[in-house]
Amino acid sequence: MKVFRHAFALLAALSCLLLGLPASAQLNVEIYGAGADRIPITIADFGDESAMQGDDKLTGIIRKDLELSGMFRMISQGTLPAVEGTVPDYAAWRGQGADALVVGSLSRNPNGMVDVRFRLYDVTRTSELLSLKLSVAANQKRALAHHIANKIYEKLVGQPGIFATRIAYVEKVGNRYQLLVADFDGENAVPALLSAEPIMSPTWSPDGKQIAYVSFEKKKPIVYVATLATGRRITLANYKGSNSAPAWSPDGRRLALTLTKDGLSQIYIVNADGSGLRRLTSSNGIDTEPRWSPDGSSIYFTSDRGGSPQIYRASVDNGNAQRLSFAGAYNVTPRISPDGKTLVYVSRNNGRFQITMMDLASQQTQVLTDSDRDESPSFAPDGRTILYATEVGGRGVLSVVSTDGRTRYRLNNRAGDVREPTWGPFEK
Amino acid sequence: MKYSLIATATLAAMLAACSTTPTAPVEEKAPVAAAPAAAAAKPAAVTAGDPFADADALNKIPLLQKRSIYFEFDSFAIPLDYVSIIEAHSKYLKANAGAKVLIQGNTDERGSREYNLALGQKRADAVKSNLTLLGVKESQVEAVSLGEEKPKATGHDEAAWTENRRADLVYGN
Amino acid sequence: MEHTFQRPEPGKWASAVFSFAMHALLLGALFWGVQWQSRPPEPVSVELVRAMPASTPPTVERQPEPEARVETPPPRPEPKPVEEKAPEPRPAPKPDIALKEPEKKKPEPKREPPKPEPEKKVEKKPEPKPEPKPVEKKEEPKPPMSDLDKMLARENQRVREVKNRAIQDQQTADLNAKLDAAANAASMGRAQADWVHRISQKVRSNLILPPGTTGNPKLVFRLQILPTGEILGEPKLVSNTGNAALEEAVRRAILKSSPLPKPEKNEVFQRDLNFNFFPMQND
Repeated sequence: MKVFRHAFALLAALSCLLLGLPASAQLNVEIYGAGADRIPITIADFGDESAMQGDDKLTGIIRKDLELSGMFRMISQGTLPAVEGTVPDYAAWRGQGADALVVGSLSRNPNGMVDVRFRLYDVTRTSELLSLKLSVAANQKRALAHHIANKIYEKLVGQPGIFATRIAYVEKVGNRYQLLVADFDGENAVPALLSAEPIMSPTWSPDGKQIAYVSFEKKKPIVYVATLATGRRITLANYKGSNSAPAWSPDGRRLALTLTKDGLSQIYIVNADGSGLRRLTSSNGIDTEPRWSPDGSSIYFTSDRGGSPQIYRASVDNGNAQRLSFAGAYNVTPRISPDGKTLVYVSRNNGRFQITMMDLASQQTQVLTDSDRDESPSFAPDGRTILYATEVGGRGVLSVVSTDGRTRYRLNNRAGDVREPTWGPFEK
Repeated sequence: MKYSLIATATLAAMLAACSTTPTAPVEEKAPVAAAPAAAAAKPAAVTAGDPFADADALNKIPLLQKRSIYFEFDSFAIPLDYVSIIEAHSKYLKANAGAKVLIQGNTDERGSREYNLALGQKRADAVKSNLTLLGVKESQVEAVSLGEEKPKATGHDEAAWTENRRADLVYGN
Repeated sequence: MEHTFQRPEPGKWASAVFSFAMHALLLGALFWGVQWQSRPPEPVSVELVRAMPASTPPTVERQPEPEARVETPPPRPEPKPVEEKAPEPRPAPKPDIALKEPEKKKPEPKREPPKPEPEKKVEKKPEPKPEPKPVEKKEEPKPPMSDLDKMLARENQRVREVKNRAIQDQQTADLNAKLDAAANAASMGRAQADWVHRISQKVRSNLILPPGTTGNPKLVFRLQILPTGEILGEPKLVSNTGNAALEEAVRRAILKSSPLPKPEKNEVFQRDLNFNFFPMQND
């Protein structure tokens, strides 16, 4: 009897121990990875969208913005009512698969402006996340849409949106060249500069108010800095030989650039008003395409000092350089991410020029694009996506690819030959 | 190699036929004939003493109307075919101390624009150093680059690229 | 009569030992089988964390009482008995998840393999075994008896055997009850593992990482649920990653997963859950 009692005690103990039935306490659930990649959201049509001028719908632009980010999936409104100011039927929206809901309304006010109201709801939590009221001019539809998209993105993703940022690029139409400034999606392009001679290498000042660029209007490359609001410009560098490849320091007070005044193409640093020129690199090869690190302490650039063009990094203090790219015989145009951790550049792979990304810490590289003639990569200010020029049917077009492969799209709204894109900073 | 031959052939043809090809406008106003003159004219010019000092020499001397130097792929060395042209220009510049020349290097369209600008600069520099070696004053010459920005041929094939690997001499004020 | 039962019965001990050995064997089989059986969820990301895994071995060691010999059921031949539980919770573990997320790719359709046999019968087998105890035979040499005595003795013996058998049967029944309980517990264990797995899958499928998430963060959330699976209030972040966007994304995924899948067996329900997230790891 006793034996059995022991046996049973043992059994019971074992079963508890081994079969995992804790008497009480918490149950642990481990969750590895993430299974979804886009937030399902409904952007309901706003009331009276015709209050804004233009053909496109305001909500259409908001939806497109969010979709381009690669972070959202649009859920159709279906037949559910979405009236600004009334509490939504959360269960019904959830039933349609939406995690979030945006409703809004527009109305003309007596001043000729448009009053905008919109609310962002968290369908999962059945709560209102955001409520905004604005007054805007009737022709400010795109700006308004980008602003609203930013608000939604920031609230749901937890990071600043890039929808109100701008890009600049060069377009060649016939024998004319123009520097265009456009919304991040390539729309709303406005010429900032017109020339009968080529324009190249535009770059935004960190405050987004100026653009430095290279113009050939005097039969040779000269670097200018133009102030967008006034159209005024200064000659930043017009030394003997070629002047090119301007790059702003993070504080906007200096620029690095490439000059040939002392012979080969070498990198120099100059104050933003053109004064205080000093030479940074001294190599027996070509040094060009400088870009400042976000902390301003070093400069990434292209050099063929080792026999083939490769990416190097030099100290701003003494110009001492260190080679960063090793694979392949052609790696050029380095661009550093806003957080300073990722480098992208153009590499030639089997005769094809493609955008390559390198994680600086691990030196791991990854080819991001799959076309033949990719060039001029430029990071979005949030570092998530890269704008670059490529060629389709002999014509230059602009494309965007995200560093995580989540999104990839083309800005194909221009008729001309487009090149040299550069992404502006976050709007101030 | 093949391409430089093509280029050379093209040049010879232009010389002989008086350039009707759509090349640089500078070359178009040469009514002078005589292709072989290229070789023969040199000694003649030298002995003449000052044909290069002539204010209108640029329009009169056939070799001076040749103002493009073509390069091999990925090369910055001046092919031998062009040495006589450079010699002629050096004579002109030496004879006309007030004359100035801008040498514009060009590249084909492949690769980075800024890096190509630097490559074009190397071609321009090659021409410039040849001129200064021959005694031309530094101050008379400026070497610059147009990179791939001003292609003479706008195609996207080997023929166009060959045409665009080039340095041009541009006389100004 | 009465006294016969009082008398020491050597045979009883022997049979008890034998019976125990058999049961120990069965238990071993059950035990190992369960161990083995609990492997299946391996491709799955969920793991049922046991309350005191480390202390298990010592505990086992400490039970020498039932004879060392008995305790050493070394290589148990058939781990099948365990199978018996497999069938029950098996019905359809997926609907819960499948319903909710059509778009996500199901990473684990492979939980099936480890269920080779439907032979629940085996379990029954052991039970009869203990019976055939013919051990009773050994009546010790008694002083010479009369025929009547012999008869009586024989009768006694018979009665005793019957009684004995009754006791055995009783004990066997008891043991079987316990075994059933253990088996039941095993199936509970698996039911719980299954439940945890389904919870994990559902929450995972709702997690959207903020762009640019790097490193190998771990986030621990504590939450309470109702038996319906509904999450009570807000999940509480226990460990801080310093990445607010990521924390919010995880919180959102948890909330979106409400109601969580319910367990197959109500008994395994736990009100307090700990969610350990490793968003940058794939299993």
